[in-house]
Amino acid sequence: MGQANPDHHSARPDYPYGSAPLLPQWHDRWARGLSLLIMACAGYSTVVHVADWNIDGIALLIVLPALLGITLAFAPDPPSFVSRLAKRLTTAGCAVGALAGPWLAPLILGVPILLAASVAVGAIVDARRG
Amino acid sequence: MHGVAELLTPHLISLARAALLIGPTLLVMILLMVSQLTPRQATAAMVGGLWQLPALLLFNLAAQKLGWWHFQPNPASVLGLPVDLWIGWALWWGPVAVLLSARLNSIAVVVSMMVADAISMPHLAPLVVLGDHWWIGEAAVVLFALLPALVVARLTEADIKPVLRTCFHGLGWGGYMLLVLPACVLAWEGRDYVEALQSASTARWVISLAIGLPFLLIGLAAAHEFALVGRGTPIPYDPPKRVVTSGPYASIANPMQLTSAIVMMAIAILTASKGAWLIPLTFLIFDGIFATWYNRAHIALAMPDDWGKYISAVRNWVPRRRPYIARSATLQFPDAGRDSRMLAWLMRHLEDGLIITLAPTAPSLRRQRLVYTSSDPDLDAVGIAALGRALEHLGGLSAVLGWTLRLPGVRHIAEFLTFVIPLRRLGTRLKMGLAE
Repeated sequence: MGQANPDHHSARPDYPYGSAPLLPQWHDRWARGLSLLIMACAGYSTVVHVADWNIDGIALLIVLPALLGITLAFAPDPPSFVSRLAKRLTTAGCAVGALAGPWLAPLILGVPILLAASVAVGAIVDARRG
Repeated sequence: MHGVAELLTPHLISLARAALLIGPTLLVMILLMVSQLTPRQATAAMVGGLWQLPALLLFNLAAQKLGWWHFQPNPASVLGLPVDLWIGWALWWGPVAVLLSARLNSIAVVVSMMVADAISMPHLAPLVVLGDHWWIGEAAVVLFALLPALVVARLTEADIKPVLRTCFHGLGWGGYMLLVLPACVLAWEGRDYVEALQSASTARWVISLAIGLPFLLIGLAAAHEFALVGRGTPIPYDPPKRVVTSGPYASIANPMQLTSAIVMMAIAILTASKGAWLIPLTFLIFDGIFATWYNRAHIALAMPDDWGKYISAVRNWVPRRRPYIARSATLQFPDAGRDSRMLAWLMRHLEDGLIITLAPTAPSLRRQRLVYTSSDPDLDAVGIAALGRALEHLGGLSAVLGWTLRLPGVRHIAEFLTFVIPLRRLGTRLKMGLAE
C-alpha cells in the first residue's frame, strides 16, 4: 500500500478546483446585473407581501433566497461555459425564488432542470462553434 | 417545564425568528468575503453545514420525544422544527463554526456556542419551550451535531483520513435520503413523515426494504471504494484523486447515483407520497445530464487515459454481466489446511486475472492471513479484505459479498470472528504438532 502505482495516474494534488483563494468578483458585469435583478425582485415581493406576512415570513421566503443569490452572483465564475451558465441560471433562479412565496420549496426541486438546461445550451453552443 | 419570567409577544417572536435566520446567513456571507478561502477550505465549511441539517432534524425529533424541548407549532415546520430556525441553526453550527474555528481556538468556539445557547434559549419561550432536562439534549446535540461537523471539516481541509470522512458523508447522505428529503416533501404535502412511516402497511415496508436495502449496500460499498482506492469522497468538491474502477465501479459507473434514485423510489413507495416521486426524478435528471457532463468536463480532462479506458468498458447505468477487471492479482493462502473449503471453492470458480498460490507454513500462534497482491497496488489487501478483493473477480453475488466483507465495521467483525473461532482448532493442531 502507498507505493507508486504504474498503471494509474493520479490527478494533481489540488484537483479539481486548484488552490487559488476564492475572491468575490465585485467588478463583474454579470454579477452586478444579477444582484440588481435579485434586489429588484426581492423589493417588489416585499412591497406586495409586507401587509400580509410577518417579518419571519419575509425573512424566510424573500430575504434568504435573495442573500443566497447575491452571494452566488459574486462568487468566482468557474472556467467552463456550462458551469458559468449553470451558476448564472441558478442565481437568476434565486431572483425567481424571492418572488415565489410558498412555492419556493418546490422550486428548489427544479434546480436540476436549470443545470440540465445549461448542459443542453452548452451542447448547442459547442455544435454551432463546430 | 423550565420556568420563564416573561413570554415573548407574537411580534417579538416573529422578529427573533427573522434574526435567528438572517443573522447567521449574513455572518456566513461576511466570513466568506473576508476569509479569502481556498476551494478546499470552502468545501470544509460546506461539509460542516451539510452535516447539520440531518443531525439537527434527528436530534430535534429526539428532543420532542424525550421532553428536552419543543418548538411553537408553525405551518413552515418539518417534524416540529421551524424551517427558518433549522436553516439558521445549521448555518450557525456549520459554516460559521467551521470558519470561526479556522481563525480562533476550536474549543473556544464550541464553548462560546454552548454559552450562547445556555443564555438565549431560556429567554425564547414560547418560540422554544424547554423541558427540565434540556441541558442533556444540548450536550447530546453538541456531541453529535456540532463536534462532528468541526471534525469532518478539519479532516476535509487537511485532506486526511478519507475513509473516516466518507463514513461521515455516508451517514450524512443517509440522513438526507431517509429523513431530510422525504420529511420536507411530506411536510409540503401537509403530512408528517414519522406518522407516514408508522401507518405504512407491512406490504409497503417489505417492498421498500427489499428494494432499498441492497442498493444502500451498493452505495456504501461504492463510497468506501472512493475513499480507500481514490483517497477522496463522494462529495464532488472533494473527489477521488484517481479513476476508481474497482468494487461496484467494476460493474457500473454510477453506483451511488443509482442507489440514491432507487432508495428515494423505495421511500416514495413506503410513504405513498406523490411528491416523494419527484425526488428520484430530479436525481435522475441531475445525474443523467449534469453529472455526466461534469465527469466528462473534469475527470476526463484531469485523467484522460484512465477515464477513457474505463468509460469505454463500463456503462453509466446498465451493469456489466462480468466485472471490468483491468488488473492481474495473486491471492496467497498461507494455510491450505485451515482454509481448505474456501480454497477449493475459489479454485472451482477461478476467474481470469486471479492466480491462487499456496505458501503453507507450520501452525503457529502468529496469525496467518490471506494476502491479495494486485498489479494495481492501491488494491492490495490482507485478511478478510483480501478475500473480499478476490471475490470481486467472480462478479455477481460473490462480488457483492466481497464489497460487503470489506466495509468498515463488517470487516472488523469478520476479522474478529475468524480470529476467535479457529483458536480452538489451532490449539488442537499445535498440540498435535508438539506430540509429533
